[in-house]
Amino acid sequence: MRAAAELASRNFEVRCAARDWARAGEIDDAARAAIETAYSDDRVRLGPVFRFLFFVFSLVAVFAAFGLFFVAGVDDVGVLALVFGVGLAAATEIQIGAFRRAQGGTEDATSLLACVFLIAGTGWIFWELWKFRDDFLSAALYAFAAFLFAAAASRWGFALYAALSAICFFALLGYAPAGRMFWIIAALVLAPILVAAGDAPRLAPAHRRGCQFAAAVCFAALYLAAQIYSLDHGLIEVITEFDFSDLSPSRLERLSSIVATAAIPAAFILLGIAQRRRLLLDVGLLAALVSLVTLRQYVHLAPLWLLLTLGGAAAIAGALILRRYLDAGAGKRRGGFTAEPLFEKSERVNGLEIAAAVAAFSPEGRKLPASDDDGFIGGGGGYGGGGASGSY
Amino acid sequence: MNPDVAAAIPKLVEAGILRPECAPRFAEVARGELVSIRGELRVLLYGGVLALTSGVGLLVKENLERIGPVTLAAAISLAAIAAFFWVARHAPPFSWGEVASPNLAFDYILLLAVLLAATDLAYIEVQFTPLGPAWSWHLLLVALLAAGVAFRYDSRIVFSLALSSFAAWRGTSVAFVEQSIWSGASSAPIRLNSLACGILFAGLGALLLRTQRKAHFDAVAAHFGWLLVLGALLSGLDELRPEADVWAAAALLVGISLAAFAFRGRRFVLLAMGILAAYIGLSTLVLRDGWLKETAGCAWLLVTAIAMIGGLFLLHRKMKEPL
Repeated sequence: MRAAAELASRNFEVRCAARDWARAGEIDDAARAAIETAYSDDRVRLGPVFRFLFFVFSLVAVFAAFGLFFVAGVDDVGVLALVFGVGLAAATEIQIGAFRRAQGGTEDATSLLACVFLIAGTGWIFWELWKFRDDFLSAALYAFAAFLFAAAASRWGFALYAALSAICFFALLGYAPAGRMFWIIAALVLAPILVAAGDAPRLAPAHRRGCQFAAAVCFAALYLAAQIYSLDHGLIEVITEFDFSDLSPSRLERLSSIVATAAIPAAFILLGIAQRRRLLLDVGLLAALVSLVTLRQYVHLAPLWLLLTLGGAAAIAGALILRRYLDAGAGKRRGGFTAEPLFEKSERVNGLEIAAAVAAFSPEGRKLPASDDDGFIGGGGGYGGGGASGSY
Repeated sequence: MNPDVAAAIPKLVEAGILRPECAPRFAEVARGELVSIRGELRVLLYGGVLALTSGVGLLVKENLERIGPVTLAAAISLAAIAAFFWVARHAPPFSWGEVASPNLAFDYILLLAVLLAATDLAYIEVQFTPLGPAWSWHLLLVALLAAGVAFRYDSRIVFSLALSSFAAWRGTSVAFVEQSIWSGASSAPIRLNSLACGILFAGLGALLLRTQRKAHFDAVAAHFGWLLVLGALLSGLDELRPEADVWAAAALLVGISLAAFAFRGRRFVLLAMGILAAYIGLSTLVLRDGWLKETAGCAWLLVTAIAMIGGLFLLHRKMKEPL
């Protein structure tokens, strides 16, 4: 990562903290202004809406340019893709370097498309020129993609590419004999390193975030590799289109997997509590939910409606009890955890939650009479939570 | 954990920018020694409400004959009343302004209460048909109930449900917006109702803002309203020409007007919606069927996209969005 960009990103972290402190009323405007002067940011940054608009129109422009060459009769799509990939990579370098853009939307688009076109172009080379086929082609592409995304994350500081690199790496491991075991070993080796790197002061903020994203992928890979449903249905072996029916898991493997399905989420959560890491807590909670759903697949404990109702009530009760437990501690905290917002206004629900609620809970529209129909066409109204049709 | 902030705090104290008494709390957060799990608790609460209401919906669907309609309706009513009772006990006094939530769970228990009440109303209507042929008016009842609750307890999430219930009464649902965007599935009556609902919601938001009564509800009403309006206009692009041209022209004009209005009012989300709708409308007018496969179509998209990027640069100079 460029030194100037790294320094700017470190200063930006402090400015963001100052913004949060000011928003919470902990510091006044004069203090915030003084912090922003002391930690200046020379990058051109945009808010989320403008960033989105720049991103969208940049995508349209690049795809239109590619299409222009294509319809003009350029036959070698692979060569074209490589040319575009290299050109877009150069454009990203110029934007981040000379134009000092960060969170600008345009460099997000050009960097993403650079990777996409380079992967596509390399795939063409593998297929057309080097005659790679089948599994070897796929594995080679995953290897290249893993390397490319890692390089992009390192050079340009986009944390998402670190996650994509990790995903491609694990996909590549799936082609190894006993790929599932390699997933487990790789995840167990890499996850602690990445978690530690996510806190390392010598790494740039974007690189720390990238390590955290990649660590999350490792945790997911570990769980997926050990999970009983994944084992029984060959969810990892499907990457290589391996005929899983030839390789039924042994009794010991199944037993180990059943134990792991329950133990891994608990381990994540306990580690998250012990180390005060939200990443581990969040991954653990998600894995616990998947494990519970998996349990229902194998053991019919009760009707689905009862499980959902009790589960929902338990989740609500659990959240309330946990909040009370934390609030009852000295300073409304226990063990380094608090339910209070840190440097935020006492907030109501935010826009994302409103959108999610509308998407999940909005009723179906009643059927209106069609313009060329004579009479009213009745139909069911409905209500219910997401997933329940609500029509009776 | 944020090592850069942790390193900056002592320097800021030394420079006299930060008060020394603030530093320990800021530092423990920056070093990861104090972690807030408020977000996780909110997700648990939201997920719990989602699961619970889904369970109730399935319960009703799968046990109609076994449990009996009266028992079922009574049970759901009791649950809704219990939730409302909890809300009423914990609610702060009414105010036309924004009211701070008394605790983390308040909004979610309120949401649960409203959803249970709505489920109960829908079930009673289907089972006992008190409204007869005018069965769909129960959606209006739900909308009015939700709106009343939203205003009393200052809940934007319940207000959004009130709006979506009203739209459902008029035949429009979020599913329609998705369909019209992704597949163009629509019908004229739904499109017109969506337009009307959208204009009504946008107008309601403007009224709330103007009268400063629950002015913070304006964003919900405005965004939902304009989404319905633009979704309705863009759904018309799937019609045969020349009707599609009329809808495209309308999308262009409305998009430009919305963008101009949003620019004056510094409303960034509405600005984005207006710009995108106008661009789609204009491109649809210019590009004929099959043009996307031809040089002229690609050239149009390339030139206009670059022009839009240039325009956005100029726009951003006059309209700085907070990060």
